[in-house]
Amino acid sequence: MDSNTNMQDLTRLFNDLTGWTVVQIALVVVLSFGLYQGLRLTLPRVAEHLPARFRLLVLNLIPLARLTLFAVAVFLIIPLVFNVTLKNFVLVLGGLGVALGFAVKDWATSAVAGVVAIFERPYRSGDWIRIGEDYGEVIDIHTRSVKLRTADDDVVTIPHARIWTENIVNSNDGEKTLMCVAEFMVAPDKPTGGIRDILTDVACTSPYLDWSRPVVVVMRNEVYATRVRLKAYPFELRDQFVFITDLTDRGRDALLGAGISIISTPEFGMENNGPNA
Amino acid sequence: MTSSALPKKLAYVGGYDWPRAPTTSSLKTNYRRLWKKLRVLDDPKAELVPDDLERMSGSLIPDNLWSALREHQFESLDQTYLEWARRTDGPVTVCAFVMMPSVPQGLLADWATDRGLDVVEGAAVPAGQGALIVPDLCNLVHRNLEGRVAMRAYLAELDGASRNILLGISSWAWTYFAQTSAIEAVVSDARSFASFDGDALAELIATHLGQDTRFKSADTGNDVVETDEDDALKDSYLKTLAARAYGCPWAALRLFDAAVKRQPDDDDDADQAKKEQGDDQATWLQDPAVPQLPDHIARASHFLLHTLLINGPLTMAAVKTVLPMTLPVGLPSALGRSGLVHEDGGKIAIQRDAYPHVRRILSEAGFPLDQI
Repeated sequence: MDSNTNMQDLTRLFNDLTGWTVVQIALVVVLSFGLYQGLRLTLPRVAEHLPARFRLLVLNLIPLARLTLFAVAVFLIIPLVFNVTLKNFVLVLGGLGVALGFAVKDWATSAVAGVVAIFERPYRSGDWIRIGEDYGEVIDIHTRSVKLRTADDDVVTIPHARIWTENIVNSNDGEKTLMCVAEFMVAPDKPTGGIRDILTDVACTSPYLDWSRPVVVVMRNEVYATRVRLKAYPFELRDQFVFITDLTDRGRDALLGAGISIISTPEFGMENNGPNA
Repeated sequence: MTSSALPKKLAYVGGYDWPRAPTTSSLKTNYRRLWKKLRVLDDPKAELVPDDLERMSGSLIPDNLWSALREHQFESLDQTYLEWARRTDGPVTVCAFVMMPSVPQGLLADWATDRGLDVVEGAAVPAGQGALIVPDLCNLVHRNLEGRVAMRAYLAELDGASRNILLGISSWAWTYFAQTSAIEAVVSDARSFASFDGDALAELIATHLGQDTRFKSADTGNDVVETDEDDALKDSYLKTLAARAYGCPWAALRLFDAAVKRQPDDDDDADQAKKEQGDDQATWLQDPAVPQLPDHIARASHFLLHTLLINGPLTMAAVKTVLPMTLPVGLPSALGRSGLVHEDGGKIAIQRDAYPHVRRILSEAGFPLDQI
């Protein structure tokens, strides 16, 4: 008797699954998937030809398109398979909850975090972020994970679920530039007059500089040296490493040229260190 | 036209009225540019124009148009600066006159010489009566460490000057110095030529070119200088041209000249009779494609073009002192073949005709742009 009732419930839960229904479902899945893959291939190509401000905008359409296409596909498929009533809705939701809770808990956690990430935006495509020890450009945001390309050209896949437990450091937060820092350790017992002007000039003569942003020099005394940090912004995110290299390279030469001693680790605390001492 | 559409006064820097192209025209152009970059679209084929049109070998712009424009701009300079420049008493001020790189070289020096004012090429400020005109500040300071030191020293000298000084400076160098130095503390007034909009260009063209010739847009087939009953231009070509030239009349006229296409001369009587009918006498305007940079040298090219705009013409040795990177061998030649730069007396310089293209290329690449 019970098994008959359960069988009737199930019959009422599902619609008749005809061949045409299967074809319709397949069509929706194939079209959604095809459209998503098309956008995934096309948009980054288009974005590569755009300035940073538009590139980030276009890249961020991809996760939004995925979510929209997924929602549309689900919205179209559910009435084909299920007999949509409130009772059935609660029944399916309960079953889905159990399935997600046991079978694909980790995947579901990451997927939900992925949806949250789309709206809360701790990272977007094209952003430069640090999660744990990994720092790189967000190149793809999937349902479960985010992909970073590091400066060493490694691709790191990180599950979205990390946003529940870890701090996400976003260097540009959707902006077209980010702060770069070149560090110098100078001898604390030598005059450092003019060091700020010298390093400001170095930044202001860099071809990578975003003129509209400030250039700042910060100095701090430490045990064995004075740490000098030159902070400036490049106009293109992807130039950050070559910009820091340029600041470091020319900054070091300019400091040495001005008779300012730069300390290297083995010489910490020693007198007469540096080539111009 | 009863009243002139040509701007009479100079524009304050910061208040320059950048002409805007009609939205549909901008969207169409940007769509074509993007698709061309993606190698999806070839040059659009205009369906309205005859198939046998050829670009003209010489220039269509007569000398009297250039002279009239020059005289008009000299009058604008007179209005603002001439009385001030001849004054020998009163407070001493330093003014800047900011010019786009498409303005003819030496224009400010020519104006000053013509008006009998003192012109100095070097960084010194010699004593004398009346204002001192410095035609091009770019010749004095470069974007490198030595240039920064020289700039500070020069600004200190200007600050202590005993006579009025008018600094000529390119819009790129001005923007760079304004953002990274104390030039705005020393210069009390900075102005530039006002922008020429579509109506002003139409007046210039109609006055000096349009009496014998009808210019028709290859996109729409309309006469580009024709106006309606409200004296508004019927076609958007000249508005778009003003936007493409960033409001600089010299740049706009050069772009106009480059767009001119005509049917080849034919002595055949029948064709002659055909030509005497309206449309066949028209001169068509079809904009040539914006030069494309080869992908593998594009990034280095952008940096070189940007450097040349800020520093002015440079020798390759000087480029190395202001651009701390290794450029590909043959880059200036490649840019020369694209028509973007030219070599003059051993120095590489931006081709004035190509300035609008260069600015557009740098804008699309996300480089910091001039602001006036």
